[in-house]
Amino acid sequence: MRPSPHLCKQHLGWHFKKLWATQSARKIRDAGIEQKLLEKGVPVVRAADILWEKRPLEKIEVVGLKPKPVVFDHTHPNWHDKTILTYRDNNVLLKGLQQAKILTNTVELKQGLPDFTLKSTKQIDRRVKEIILTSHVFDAEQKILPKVKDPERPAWNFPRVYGITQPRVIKLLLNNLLQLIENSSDLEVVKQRYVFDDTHFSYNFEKSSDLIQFELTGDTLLTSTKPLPPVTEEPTESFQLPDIHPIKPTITLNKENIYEVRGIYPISLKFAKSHPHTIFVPHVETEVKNLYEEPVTEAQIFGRSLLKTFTVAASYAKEKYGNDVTVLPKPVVVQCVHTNGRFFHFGIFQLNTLDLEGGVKNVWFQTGRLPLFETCCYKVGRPVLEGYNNEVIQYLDAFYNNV
Amino acid sequence: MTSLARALQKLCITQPQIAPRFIVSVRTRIVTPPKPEIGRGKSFRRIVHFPENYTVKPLEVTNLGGRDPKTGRLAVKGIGGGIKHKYHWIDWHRVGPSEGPPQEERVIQIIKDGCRTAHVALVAYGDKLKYILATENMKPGDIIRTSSHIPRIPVRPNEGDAYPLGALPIGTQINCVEHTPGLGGFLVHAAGTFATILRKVDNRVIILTPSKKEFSLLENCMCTVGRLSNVAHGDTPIGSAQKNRELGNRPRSGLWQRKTGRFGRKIRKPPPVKVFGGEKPKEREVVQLNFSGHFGKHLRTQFQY
Repeated sequence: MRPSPHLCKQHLGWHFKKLWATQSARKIRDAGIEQKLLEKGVPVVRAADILWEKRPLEKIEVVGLKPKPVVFDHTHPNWHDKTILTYRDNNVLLKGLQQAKILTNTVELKQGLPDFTLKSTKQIDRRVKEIILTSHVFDAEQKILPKVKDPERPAWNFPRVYGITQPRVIKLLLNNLLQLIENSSDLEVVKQRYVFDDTHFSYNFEKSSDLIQFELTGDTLLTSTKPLPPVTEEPTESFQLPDIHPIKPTITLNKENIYEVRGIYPISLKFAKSHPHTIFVPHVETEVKNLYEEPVTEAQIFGRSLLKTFTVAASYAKEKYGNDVTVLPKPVVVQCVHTNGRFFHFGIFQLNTLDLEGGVKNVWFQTGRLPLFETCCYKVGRPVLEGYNNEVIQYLDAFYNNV
Repeated sequence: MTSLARALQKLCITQPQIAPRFIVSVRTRIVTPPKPEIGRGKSFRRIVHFPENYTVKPLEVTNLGGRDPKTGRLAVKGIGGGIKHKYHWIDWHRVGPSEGPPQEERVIQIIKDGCRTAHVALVAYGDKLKYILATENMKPGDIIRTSSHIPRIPVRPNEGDAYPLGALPIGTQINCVEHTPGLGGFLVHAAGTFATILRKVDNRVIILTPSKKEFSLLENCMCTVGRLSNVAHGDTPIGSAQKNRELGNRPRSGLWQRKTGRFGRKIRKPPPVKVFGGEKPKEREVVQLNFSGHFGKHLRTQFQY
């Protein structure tokens, strides 16, 4: 059968276009000429570099635009070549309390606090329950709270909850509880006390040739006209610090090159009520996190309260006794209340020495994490408080009245 | 002849004229649509936003939904959606001292990682933290050792330790094996898998990978001892269509796609041992040529005769 001319008709252009798609990428075989020429010392230049003029972009400095943003590199005015290791409000140490003890040269002489006389009355308990409901449930703040996630049902999105944010809960709780204790305490004791809010502390030191700085911002400090007496006179040289080999005690401290070395005790010692008595440390769960985003453990929370209390005590001791003091003539004692709105953790720190590599050690006493209540929320439309624990207010009261 | 010589003498090498570059209209230019590179060991599930320096902070991820990030076209069907998991940047390099006692590291925590089947271990040494793939019996508080020394007598290793291939006895189960010294753990990452050291020849070690292939690797390639964690993963069925969607797999066609002759068990002779570390062929330079003209319908229109 004779083929008709139309059957042979092909659009050559489309065939070439399709072929060009692959054929335009030419793989150049290396014949080794360039290498041989370079060995002989003959300069080899790309043709494109000669044929096509390279026009460098002219940088035009325009006057009148907004100022350049601050660049955080070696041109920053606060840049230092030596790295500093800092501990701020929102870090936690990897190994928690053990690591904090090594860093601050502290030992725990016994489990729990030294003996306190604890007392409570029904009236106070009733008032405390009212305060818990006020701060957790009755406050008018309606802000969007963090998402609720069930690890067993990761795809499920719970409805968003509106309510009181945790920083506000802690603030309300602490303010109201402190006010209650002041009202129910002896006037002579209350006259000696003063409450400072939003205090800033900073203490820096050198340990095994690492420069370390602890900073505290925004905590409530209770001060007194007289410093607290030392808790224990027991010699501490024989006690051993915990061993966290192969981990160094400076792990999870932030490494920074842009810093300002500061030693701050916020209250002038000329003021009568300048002696630190108790520090109230808030634990806001959305801000206090590990770098690796795993839940914060109990040991890490204990380590945080030890480091905060140490910062307060050390900055005060430096202010009072000067920069070069090692073993303090009179130990500085600071109490600590660490709370997240529900759990309370009490601690007492005795600063015996500012020499953190020496034999004389500092002492730390602490309770475990005591819950103030089990649940406090609306249930079937009614505000309900369950599982109230009256130990917490007893400790708070004892701490406040400790002279 | 002399006139030719004289003519040639008049020639001189001048500075070539710099050709001005004109802006060509792209309307008629042949632009071939880009194609995604499929089948080159690259996955189209997610892009991880890696910072400059290594960090233990979980990294942000962009899901691709089966698209090629360069061309934007669909490269792989069946990928899309699912729960977005942050990426834990694993430090694949297990570096140890070449002499002296091995480097000791402590396991802090075992973490379930949404981006892989095996579990991830957070490990601390000195003042550094890093992630590694967790082995079967690793638990928080364990000490793992790394050494790059190859002794005359093979080491008796513990699970989780990292040694060069030449230092381990024959029959050891290993994972995260480098195929080139210094590359970082490359082979065997999936949950419950392990490679086995079969024999040693000269300065090479032959291992059997989970896919039953034999690889011949240099003896100073590092590897981790033991079987990878989450052994039950292989035996756990996905369970439901919703679970499969949570894993990021889009619905599949119910049509039976296995009627072509290429499916089914093959009975072949085992492939030869693949030798790594041999001479790699040099990548040839690719020059992209441009044709700013128009391909005509037939030769007459193209060459205008």
